[in-house]
Amino acid sequence: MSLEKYRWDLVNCERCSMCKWVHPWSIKSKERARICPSMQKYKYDAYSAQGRFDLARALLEGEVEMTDKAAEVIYACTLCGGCDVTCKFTRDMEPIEILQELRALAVAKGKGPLPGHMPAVDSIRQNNNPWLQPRSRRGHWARKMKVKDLSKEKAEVLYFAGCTYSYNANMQEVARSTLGILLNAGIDVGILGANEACCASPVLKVGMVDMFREHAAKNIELFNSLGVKTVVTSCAGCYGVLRSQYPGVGKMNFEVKHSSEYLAELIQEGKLKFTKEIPMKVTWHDPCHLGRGSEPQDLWEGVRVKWGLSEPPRERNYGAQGVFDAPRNVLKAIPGIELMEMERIREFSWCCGAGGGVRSAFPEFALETARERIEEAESTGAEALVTSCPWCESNLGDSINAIGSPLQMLSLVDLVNRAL
Amino acid sequence: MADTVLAKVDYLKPLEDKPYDQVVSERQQYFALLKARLEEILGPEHVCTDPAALDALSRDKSLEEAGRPSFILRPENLEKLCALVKYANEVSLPLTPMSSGTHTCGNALVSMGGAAVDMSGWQQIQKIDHRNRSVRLQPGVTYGQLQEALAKENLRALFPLLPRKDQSVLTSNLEAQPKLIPEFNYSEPFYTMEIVMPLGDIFRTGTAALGPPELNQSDMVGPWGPGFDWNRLYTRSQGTLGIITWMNMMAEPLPCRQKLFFTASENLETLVDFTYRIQRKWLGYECFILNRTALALMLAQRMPEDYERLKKRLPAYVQIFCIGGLRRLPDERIAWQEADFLETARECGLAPQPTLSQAPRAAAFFEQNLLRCWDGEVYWKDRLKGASSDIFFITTMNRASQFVDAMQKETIKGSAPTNDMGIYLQPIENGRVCHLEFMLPYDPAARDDCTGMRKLHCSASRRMKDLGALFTRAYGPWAEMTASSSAVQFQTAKMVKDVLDPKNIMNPGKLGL
Amino acid sequence: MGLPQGAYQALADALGAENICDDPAVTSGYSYMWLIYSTHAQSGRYRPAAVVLPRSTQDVQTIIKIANRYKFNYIPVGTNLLPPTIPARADTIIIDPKRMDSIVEIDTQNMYAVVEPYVTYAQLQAEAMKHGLTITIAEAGAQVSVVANNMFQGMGGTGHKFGYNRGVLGCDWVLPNGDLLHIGSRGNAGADWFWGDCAGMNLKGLLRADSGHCGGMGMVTRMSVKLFPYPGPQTFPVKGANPNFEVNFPKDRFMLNLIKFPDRKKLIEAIYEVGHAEIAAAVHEEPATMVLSGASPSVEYFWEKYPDFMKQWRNVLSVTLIGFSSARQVAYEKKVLDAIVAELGGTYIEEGSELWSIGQDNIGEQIRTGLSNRLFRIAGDFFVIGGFGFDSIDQSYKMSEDYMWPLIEQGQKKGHFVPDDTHNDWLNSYQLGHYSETEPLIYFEHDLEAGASFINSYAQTVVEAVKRRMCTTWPLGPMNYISGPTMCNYHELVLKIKKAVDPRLTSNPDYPVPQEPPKG
Repeated sequence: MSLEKYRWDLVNCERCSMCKWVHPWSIKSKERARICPSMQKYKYDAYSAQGRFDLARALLEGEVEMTDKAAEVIYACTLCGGCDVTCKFTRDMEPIEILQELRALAVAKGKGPLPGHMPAVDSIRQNNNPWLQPRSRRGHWARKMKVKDLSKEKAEVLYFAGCTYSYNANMQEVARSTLGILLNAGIDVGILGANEACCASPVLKVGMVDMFREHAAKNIELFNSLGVKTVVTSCAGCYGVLRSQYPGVGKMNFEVKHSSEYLAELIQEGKLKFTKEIPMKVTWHDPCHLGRGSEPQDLWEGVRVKWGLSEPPRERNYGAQGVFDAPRNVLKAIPGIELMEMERIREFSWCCGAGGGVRSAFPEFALETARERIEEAESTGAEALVTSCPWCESNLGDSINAIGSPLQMLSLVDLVNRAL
Repeated sequence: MADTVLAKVDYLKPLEDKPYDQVVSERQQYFALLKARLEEILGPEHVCTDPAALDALSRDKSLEEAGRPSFILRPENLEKLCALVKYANEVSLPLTPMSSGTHTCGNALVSMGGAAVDMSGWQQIQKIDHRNRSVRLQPGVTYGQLQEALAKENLRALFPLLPRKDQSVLTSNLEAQPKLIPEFNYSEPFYTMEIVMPLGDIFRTGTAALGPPELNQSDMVGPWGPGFDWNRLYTRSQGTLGIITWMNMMAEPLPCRQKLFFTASENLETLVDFTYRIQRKWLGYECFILNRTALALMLAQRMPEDYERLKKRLPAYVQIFCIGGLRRLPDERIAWQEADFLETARECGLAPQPTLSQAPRAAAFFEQNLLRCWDGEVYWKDRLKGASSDIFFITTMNRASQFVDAMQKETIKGSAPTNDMGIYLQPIENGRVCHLEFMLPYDPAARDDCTGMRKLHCSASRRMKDLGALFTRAYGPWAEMTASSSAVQFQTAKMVKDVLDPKNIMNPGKLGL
Repeated sequence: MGLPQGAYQALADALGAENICDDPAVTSGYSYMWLIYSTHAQSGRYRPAAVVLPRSTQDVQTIIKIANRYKFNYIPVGTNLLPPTIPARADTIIIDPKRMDSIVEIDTQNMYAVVEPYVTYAQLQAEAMKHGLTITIAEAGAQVSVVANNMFQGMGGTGHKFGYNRGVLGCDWVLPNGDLLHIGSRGNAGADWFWGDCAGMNLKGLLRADSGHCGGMGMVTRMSVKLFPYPGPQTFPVKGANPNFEVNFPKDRFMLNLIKFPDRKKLIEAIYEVGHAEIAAAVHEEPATMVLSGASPSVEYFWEKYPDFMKQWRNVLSVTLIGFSSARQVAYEKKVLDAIVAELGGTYIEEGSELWSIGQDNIGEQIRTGLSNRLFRIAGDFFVIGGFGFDSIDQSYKMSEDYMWPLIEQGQKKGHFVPDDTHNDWLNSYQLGHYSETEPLIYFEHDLEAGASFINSYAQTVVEAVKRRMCTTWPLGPMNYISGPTMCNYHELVLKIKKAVDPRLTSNPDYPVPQEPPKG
């Protein structure tokens, strides 16, 4: 792949600016009209998909060079995919692929990843996790649980905890609760413990495509070898990359489900019953990688022919087929919970600000973006902001603390667990 | 005594050190030269220097200072008008254009000498285009004349409130006089114009720029451009940017049926609230509010007895509202609007009636007069004392009461009879704003009355302005009052004027320019 | 070549270093517009020397004064949609108003809103709808700047009822000499926003003509715009998911009618009759390409459907009735419309039919433009051959048939434009049919020959119009030298006034009219 593949997109962008906004028909207020956190923070057009298209075209044409500033423009983006949704409503273009391609180019030119990304990248290379933690401790979160180790035995379902839920002491409870619920529901589930490896989403996001593919291939091989039917994860980041990117790396003999989907199915099948009421108003934050970012990408290879038609025709992902209903169905099923929706939801969700390597390289940008989401959540009248993504929880949680918001930051499974 | 000294620009060596009688003599010679040349251009019969005629034009119905022209020029046609303007540039002769009619605001008074260009003879209605609902007319066309012609085509002009018989339609629109129907978003009801520019060139606005009417293949109803929005720029320019020779303006379908309602209240705010509501619903055609004085001045058959009687009986304020039915399903059109109108009135606790019980003549009067000029000998505003000094401006309806209170205080301070102050509130564009007008009667023959009124007019205008009244017409003292509050606006206007009229011959002194 | 020495520092000192940038990685984002690219056959050369982000009117005044002092050019932009806002000279900066994005005020009683340049129509309308108010939204899309669009175009939507080009009230306008001109009631004692007229000559007339000056006359930093009654839900009623949304207005107050007429002349008659009857809120001839593109989630979908659709969707008039007062209004207007349609041999496209399902979102489009940028989908680029010229409905039709479509057909024969034999335009009625504008839409690829074909055809429409003394299309920049000499030499007056307020010609110098006629 190279930017050349997207030349048609780059020269055909007519700077209509749809990429900067929620689709006009879905705008409900002046304050919640934007879709692009990068644009909101940095103001210059260069920090939108349109501007980055222009930069990509200029790089392709040799009009500008890949400089430190160009790399900053390229990386100061959460890769949330909001632009991809709104652009595609109008045009047949692939903003998110182009943004990722730009990062690959930055890496190729020696300008990426940024210094702020390197600890995580190096750690993934050395420790198979971005958190500078030893591989051997990866399975400790479940050491007190009686669960199959799929390195040794077989099960139908692999619960893939992901790096953050495995290592972050404040978040391990999410993994434990989810696994506990699955076990209690009688699901034949196991984990990989110390043999679980990073999904490699962080390296993909910073443009290290080869490293990502290497890791992804190993994971696919491993999962295939386990003979599991389903891989379940609570991490939206892992889920997004497993759903959207892994199919491009290798054949997967298993399906991937997010824990919210799995929980919703269990509720529907009557395998999960709530016994306690939780009188609480909550609002749901759609993580980008669970929602619009989780649609499988079409591995289209072809050309644009007369009138811009794709040859062969390609399927496009519009961002609306992600996991949106399942978590809402889970929340609605919990007695006493009142779901208050924010204005920007589902495919138009406002990013938490942590993605795309932003939290490590541009922490201030990450927090400002989160603050906007917190304010949006507060305006619903909700008492708690619920999500199911360790990056979102962490970044939104930090922002809640920073601004002294009365909102509680909750993980979906916390509420489920409390109501059982 | 020598003739009135021509404007600042046509003094002949005024400061030369020579005997005064020589100066006078040279001036007389120069005047004779000018006259001869003007007669050559326009024809002798179209150059008037008759002192009585000049005197007649030196005053108008306003309290403005007199300004006597040296000539009254009546160009016969476009060609001669252009030649006149070109010559005026050569000799720096100020030209003050005037259309037909009784001038009431001082805008047609000659401020800085020169010639009055009398366009009242230009009385042609050049074209009525029923299909495009447009009418092209010259400056001397009056409302009465226009409506008579339009009615034959089942059209109507947007009418101001009971205009004078000799009111020029073109001037009324150019000055943006408010119209009785607030329904339309037509604060600029003209499409295109032909202008003789200050340098004597012909300019046409909008699609009329494509050529003179006889060659132009458009319908000349494209109002914008070319280049700038000249129509807007020329609005209220009071002849300072050229002389308009025709205007193509909007006409509207003539209703085949209409139904009037009168809604009375002792409280202006109640009617304002009601008016906001019905305007927001986009209901009806004519809609305006009068106070009892204004209404009595209109309805009184004999003055002053009817007037006094009516004033005692009439409610403080009355909203007059008219629904019209057009060619297609007229009765149904009236029916749905009536139902909605009355429903809204009920919500406001009001009870519109088909006439005023206190003045049963009201129904017939307005039925007949919404599309007519005032046909009495004395204009309705002047019936009480012979003249009326009007203060009017744009504001929002919710502030009307505040202005009324302040105005009443001003009249008390000015020792004018508050009870005889007429009030006219005309909603504009669905009540987005309104034209608020106060009519202060005075006796033009009584010197003290005039002096007092001039003083009151100034102080009250200033008070209104301080309260946020938007004076959109730079007449008399209002010109200075408004120019001083926005120096950049004034300076930019001057810049435009200098570009278009480098010799400053077009109505110099107006708008403070 | 960048800015004159010292200029960058002066701007940085005035605005803060973070609010100016001249790095090519950033300025590239303001450098590319294919139409410019196709005209000049190279890009990159036109990157702005810097981009500045003012926060206030005062900032804008400072920028413009610095530009005058150091003699460099600037282009003020809004949401930056159109070609003239791409620099065509090296020493040009872009004034990007992204930090000027407030809705300063909405006066719900007196129906106006005050906005800064980076407020979009969708944002403003979303807030206005909460108060039962709306605004006509241009076909450029609801994502464009209210201020910039009001200064530039603004066609479309509910202009049949609400009018066109009369929406601007009070303004704060920084002239190219750096002076702050208050328009309308802004110049009043209370610096109010409620009205656009002032005493004396109305300088609002310099703000634009039928279309705007493309940043050639300074920058409006705040604008009060008219709002209009709106009897619908407080939130724009949309259902569905990307890319298939549907709008769902209450039918008793909002009624879309899609009417097929036997020929285009009958359709034109119908617009006249609707106008004379003073019914409807939005009236547009809707061409097949536009309607189908609006319903197309992809270019492939469009081209699969188009050949058959083009045969079926001909001479279709879209008439939206809105019950501003009550459902009674809609019921009455429908009866009148029925009579007109029957007299002229029209037939309603039936609700539920396939054609209806493709055209049904037209009502949403008329109230909040959300589909129009899909026109780019058809071939990569589109524009109008002609358009932006205003005269009667008859004139729109005649312009279209006499010289626009023949030019389109030439382009089609060469394979430059998408085939279309309907001769249907996006033809609009304004102010109850008092005047009109037509836009024959053409679609072409980013191919230099097709681009040249488009530009030449567009310029040719101006030539043909003045030759026939018919309404011209929008003469962009140098094209004013084609139309000016036959239209009272207006271009000379425009240039003189521009020079008076912009003596150093620093404000997008080639607009509204370049100093010199184009060579050749």
